[in-house]
Amino acid sequence: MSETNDWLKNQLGQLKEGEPSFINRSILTATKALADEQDKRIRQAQDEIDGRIWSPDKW
Amino acid sequence: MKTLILISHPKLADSATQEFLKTAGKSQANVDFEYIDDLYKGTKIDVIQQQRQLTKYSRIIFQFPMYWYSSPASLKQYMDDVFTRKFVVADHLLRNKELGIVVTLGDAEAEFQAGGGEHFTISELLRPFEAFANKAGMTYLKPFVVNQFGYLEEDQKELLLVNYLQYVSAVMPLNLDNREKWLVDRLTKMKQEKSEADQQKLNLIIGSIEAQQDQIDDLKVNIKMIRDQEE
Repeated sequence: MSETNDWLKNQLGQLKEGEPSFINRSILTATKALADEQDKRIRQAQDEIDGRIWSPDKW
Repeated sequence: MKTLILISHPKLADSATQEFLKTAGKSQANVDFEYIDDLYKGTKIDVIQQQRQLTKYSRIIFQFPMYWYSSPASLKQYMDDVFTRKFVVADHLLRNKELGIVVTLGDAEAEFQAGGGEHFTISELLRPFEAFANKAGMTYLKPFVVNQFGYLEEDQKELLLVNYLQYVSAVMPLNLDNREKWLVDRLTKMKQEKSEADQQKLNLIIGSIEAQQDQIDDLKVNIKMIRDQEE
């Protein structure tokens, strides 16, 4: 997990702690889930680029 | 974009699921609710007024508990009365609108498949609504299924709430890009009711989410370029 994502989730967690509205808490939880998904997509995309650039077919 | 949610439920007041969805939906701008069962209490339904109302919305949602593999009777009655041939087929007044279905189940959704206890899929059972959307020239949205609400944990309810709000109000399809835009919009609105310190936090969060999305878009472009060169 990237540092940005750690930081993002920490900030979202802090906001959620002081949040009385269930709807707003839900929005913050969904934002956390989205950040995780973005993080995963970035990692996978970078891995794919590495894989394709270093493909043995091109050696 | 405006959404009308038509709820068909003979025992609305007793339903925790419907109460949950209604409270959620009311927090969303440009989403209106109509209780079909109320329209049939006492007076005769005003077909022209209902038709006029429908034309104001670009997304129409039928929301109901599944009763014997279909909707409760009030939705069928409403469709028979309001969706006249002239309104739907001759004048094409529903054309290019979206039709969504929010269906709640008492049984596990996993049973609705070949080999499962219910044997048939939700898509198969809801086919008459899909056929109607097709005839009316509407875009049929993937049905939104809520199953066994009573067994959900707190964090599952939170995610259900947001998924539901996105289903009724976000731009379709619900891909990462559109979900991100929807969340950024809601976070921006949330800011208005917050202290200055929290507003700053939210600004940084929004900035970071948007930057990550831009990064994903850039990576996609690069991957496409590399793939295209390979093939």
